Amino acid sequence: MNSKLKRCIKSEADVEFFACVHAISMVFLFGFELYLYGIKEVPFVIIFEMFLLSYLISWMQKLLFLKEKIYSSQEFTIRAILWSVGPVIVTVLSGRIFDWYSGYPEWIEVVFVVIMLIYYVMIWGALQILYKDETNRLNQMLGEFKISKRHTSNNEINNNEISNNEISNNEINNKKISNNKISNNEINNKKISNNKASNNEAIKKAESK
Amino acid sequence: MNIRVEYTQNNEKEIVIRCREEDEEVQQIKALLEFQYQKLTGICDSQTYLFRPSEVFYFECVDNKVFAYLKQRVCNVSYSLEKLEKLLEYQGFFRCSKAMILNMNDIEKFESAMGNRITATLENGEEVIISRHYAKMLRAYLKEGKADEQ
Repeated sequence: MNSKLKRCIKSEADVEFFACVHAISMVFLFGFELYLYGIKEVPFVIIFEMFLLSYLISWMQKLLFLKEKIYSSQEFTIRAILWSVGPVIVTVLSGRIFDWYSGYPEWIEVVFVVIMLIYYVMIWGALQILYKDETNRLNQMLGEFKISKRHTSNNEINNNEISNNEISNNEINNKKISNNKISNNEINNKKISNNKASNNEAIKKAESK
Repeated sequence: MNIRVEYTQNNEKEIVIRCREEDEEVQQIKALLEFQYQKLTGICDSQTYLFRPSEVFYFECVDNKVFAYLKQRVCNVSYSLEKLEKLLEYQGFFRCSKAMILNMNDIEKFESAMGNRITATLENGEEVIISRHYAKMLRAYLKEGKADEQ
């Protein structure tokens, strides 16, 4: 429940951010056109309607890519076109419904719609550039991750080889030591037996005397 | 850290780690040692298979059952995703969604997608979506470079 709520809040924040960007662009463009025409004020009702429309457009764009699935290239292209063209259609309809252009020449609506279309396409393009940049960065990090991982496993292999060599060297040393010990023991034993024999001979000689 | 080998008469090899406390370094050493000899068991076509974690592309939980997607077969494993996540933490495995653990070593490429998601293409051509929440963690994981720490 908590994670769902978090996800909703994040989506809402995303939508509101884009809604603000769209609304500011719309209001600025519409106001600039009116300014060029000689009108220095934009009615608050139109500004409010543009903000509402931007919020709606933003949700529409969000919903187009809401599903966590892999889109086929055809599906992706259709959604991309809808992402940029859909808002323009909604803008045209809203302009007519809310009567934004009444009393103004026709070119204001045409220029407004054309520039808004260019704006949405540009936003789409900018987002794609950002994602491409992010993709490159991620792949670079993945490459570095794999290299470091390989380096680590190579080190492990080297360490194993070194320890194996050490073990075999130690074994050789141990064998040498044990062989030396054995030969020393043999020499000692021989000495002892020789000593014993000479002692026995001395005792026999003494007894005979 | 000192590494030394002691020779005994016992046939069984034993590794003892002497430390003041079991910190991350010790845990990593343990994980590495376990990984070296660790094998997982899974059931595939009513036969039990033994496989190394490195052979797995990803683990996925479907209907409360965890499956390991290997290069040639899919095995049902008895471990939970949480346990696998802990077990394979230092071995390049990453929890990429609620129901999936991904082997980062088998990822061919990433692609950033709409909505801050990431699409991961595996070496077998399969594509996996990493949601926005986990994408953030993935970026941090790659930046931190857990492999470096090993």
